[in-house]
Amino acid sequence: MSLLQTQNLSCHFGGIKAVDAVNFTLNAGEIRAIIGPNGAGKSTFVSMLCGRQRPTDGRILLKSTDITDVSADKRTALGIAYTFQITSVFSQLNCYDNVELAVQGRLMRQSGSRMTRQRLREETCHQLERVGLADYEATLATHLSYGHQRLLELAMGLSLDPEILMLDEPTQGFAESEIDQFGILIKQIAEDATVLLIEHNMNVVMSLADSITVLDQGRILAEGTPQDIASNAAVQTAYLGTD
Amino acid sequence: MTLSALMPVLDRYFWLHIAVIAALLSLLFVLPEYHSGIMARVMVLVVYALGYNLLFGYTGLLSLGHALYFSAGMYGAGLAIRWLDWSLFPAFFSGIVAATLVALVIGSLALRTIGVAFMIVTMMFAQTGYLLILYFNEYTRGDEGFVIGQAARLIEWGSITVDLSAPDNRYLAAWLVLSLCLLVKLILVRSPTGRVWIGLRENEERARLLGFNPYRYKLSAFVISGIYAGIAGALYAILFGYAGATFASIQYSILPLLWVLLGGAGVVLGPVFGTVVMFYLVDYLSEQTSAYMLFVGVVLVVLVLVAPRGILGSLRRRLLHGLP
Repeated sequence: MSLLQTQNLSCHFGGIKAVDAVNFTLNAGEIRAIIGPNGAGKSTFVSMLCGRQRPTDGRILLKSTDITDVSADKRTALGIAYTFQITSVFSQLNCYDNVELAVQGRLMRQSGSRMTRQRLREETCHQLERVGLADYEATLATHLSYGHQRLLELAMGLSLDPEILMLDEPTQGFAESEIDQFGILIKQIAEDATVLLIEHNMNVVMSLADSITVLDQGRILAEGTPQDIASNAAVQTAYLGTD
Repeated sequence: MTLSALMPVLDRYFWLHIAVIAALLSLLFVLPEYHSGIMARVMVLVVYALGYNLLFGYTGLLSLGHALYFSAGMYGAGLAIRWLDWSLFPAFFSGIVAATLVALVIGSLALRTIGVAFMIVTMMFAQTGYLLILYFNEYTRGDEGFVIGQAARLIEWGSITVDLSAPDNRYLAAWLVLSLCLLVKLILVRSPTGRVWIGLRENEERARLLGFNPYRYKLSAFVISGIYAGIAGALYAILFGYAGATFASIQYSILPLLWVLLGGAGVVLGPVFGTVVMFYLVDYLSEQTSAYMLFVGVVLVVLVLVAPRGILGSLRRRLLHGLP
């Protein structure tokens, strides 16, 4: 079933076509990876999906509803969560307060949910545990290691209980051991959410993704299962060049 | 959201605020009359600074035009007494309503800008307000201002009459309003809304992508901050029996910024200390020299170098972790 769809989605900066008439479909329940060389338009594309970047042209449909003109904060309310490529947390707040704000946002939006201090506390602690940051509750986000900041950002995304979780290069700055744990976490998340992943680490992509979309120069170059993509000649050309 | 989320958290910091409130009350019985007179005035101005801190210290918005809301409160009350013969309470509330409406209109326009543009836009609106007060000097008496007679400064409750022009009553009235404003602020900054304000100050884009509408939350901070200014302005007019255009001038937009910076931006009690220290500093220095503003400037420069987070902001970093 198509959950999120783009029709001719484009974003031009002056003469540069960062994203050029992309028709893309994200199916409910899958883990989709978007890969492509630097400057392929991956981040711009996902920024348009979550509402940070206005498209120059084209439409975005969430469950067949046009959300092209819906603001970023309303898209969050509709179930789209986004974690930034360059870590963006509340650096001067501690981990607990960071996550609490995300939990609060969801509880305030959910009609009929009673937001009590106790409930906020329980859910915030649960999310911190889920990503393994329970011991860092009182640590200022800015004092965390880069990898931990990424996890904190992930916890904030998860706290929104999103239908679609968009992760922009989540494993950047992770140690090898952290990457394995991260993979397990993403598999868990994917049990009740659709995951859209921009990722450079090919091992992560190949082991996690159900399907892969390859962007090159703002266009979709190829789409398919990890096996298809690995053996696709055009993809190899785009990545490795021709000799 | 349930009401329980708005109940104060009764932790040690709550009691610290209660202790400060109690200390301010006890000063009435300890201080000589000259100083309790100053403190009454200072406490009214603290209310102004408390509200300014909500916008600047908590939400991260630097307004250079808050004199407009202070004077809206002052003239909202003063003009109602002078021209409509309103009694104290209706006049006080008309001041608050005036400030609320002005803050709502100006805020909804000014918040379409950010950063330096926001500072300039708020300042220009405040200058417009100042010039309007001068322009309509037939009603406002412009720079000269007007005195509010003692008759309008009485609280009459059955057979009991309280004269707010009497020093002790004035002190108590200022203290009572300040106490309420302080506690409301403490509850506000720890409420879900207060946490969003802090989130916006720290990282607006992140807050937006957590699903919070920045404009709506900034406007709420702006208006509440304007209401605090209006309460202070109306109270000033009633307690000190005077309304004048000086209070709408740029100076009164800058002062709350200095008080908040000195005391500690983003600390509930910051403006209490900032305003008291600054007021006494100016009081003392102006007796010594006519160039007292020069020395005030030096003090501020030293402060920025030694304790850039203000008095309480620095204390919080070292001792009082988690002080709201």
